[in-house]
Amino acid sequence: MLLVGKRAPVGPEAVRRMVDAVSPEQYEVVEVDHDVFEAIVIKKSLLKLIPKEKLLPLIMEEGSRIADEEMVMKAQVKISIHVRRAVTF
Amino acid sequence: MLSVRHLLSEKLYIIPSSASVRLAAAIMEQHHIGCLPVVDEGRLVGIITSRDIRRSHPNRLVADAMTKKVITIRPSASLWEAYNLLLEHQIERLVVVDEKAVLGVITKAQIMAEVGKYIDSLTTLYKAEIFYQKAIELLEGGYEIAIIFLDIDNFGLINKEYGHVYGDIILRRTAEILKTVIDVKQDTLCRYAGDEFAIVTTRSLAKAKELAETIINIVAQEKWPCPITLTLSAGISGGRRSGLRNLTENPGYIIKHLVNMASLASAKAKKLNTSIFIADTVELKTTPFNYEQILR
Repeated sequence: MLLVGKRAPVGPEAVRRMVDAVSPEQYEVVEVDHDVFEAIVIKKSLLKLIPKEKLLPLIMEEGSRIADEEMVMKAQVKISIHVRRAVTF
Repeated sequence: MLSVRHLLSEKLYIIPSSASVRLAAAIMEQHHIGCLPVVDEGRLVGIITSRDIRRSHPNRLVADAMTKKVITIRPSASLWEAYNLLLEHQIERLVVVDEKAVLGVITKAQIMAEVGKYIDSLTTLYKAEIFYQKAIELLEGGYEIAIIFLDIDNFGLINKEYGHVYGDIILRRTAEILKTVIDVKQDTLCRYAGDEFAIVTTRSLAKAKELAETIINIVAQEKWPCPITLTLSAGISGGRRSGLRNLTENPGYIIKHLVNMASLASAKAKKLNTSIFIADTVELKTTPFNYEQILR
């Protein structure tokens, strides 16, 4: 994921053009209304594991602890899924 | 009054959204301009202003720094429309576009400089030119209009008795009262000349009379800085629009006639020692108006 600061050297449109050129259709650029960040770039496959509405607030909360609005921050997200399944005979 | 077209400069500078903010800043600095319309493949997609540039990193794309919501105006629009758009949206610039392309940018400073010529410095009311323009717009828009012509009684005597400083105070205060009474959605007020004020309204003739009565009553109850009782005389005229297109190519002609009738009605009110005189409704036909007949 990329967290794009509000005053970062690259903005959402530049990021969108970049990821579309490098990895077309694999990333979604979500523009956000936030004190520090202007946009979040998410790999679409991540959103199969967790909905955007859950993921974005978490990422922005954690990101804003260490980033400022001039930064573009790369975040690595590890999602653990625990499956428990009971099988009855 | 001039149209927006008259304020356009010959040279238009634009920038594509894929350019850098640094380039936009350089162009603006080189040409001493405060903004650039952002145009992609002939289509207006935004505007980048010096304010946007101050807020953005110079490496950014213009697309990431520009203001995407652009308020535009037609070149044929009046400066008055431009002025109202600026006020309505609280902005500093308008992009001028026609059906095909971006033609230029006009600034608040340019518009204010021009509009300022039509504001009366003593009362801050519009001058008669704006009143005429508004009246023409209403007629052309198919509205039926009424004109209220207000005249301060014996104003010359007040000036002679108490001096022009007091006269000016009375004019300013009267203007303030009028401003509080009118409804800007349906009335346009101006200082017509000297101690005369005029209102063009989309109210019916009866409602216009009610408005005039309200004004006259409020002014009569006002406490003035010198021991006078100030009274106003009002003349009212109205026009139906049937036959308008046949009358003349110039609606200003009709307005002047209506104003003249209201003015004469106001004089008639004075003469009859009544506060309001209505010059009745005038059917706007090709026959020239006969004021004597109307006011008889």
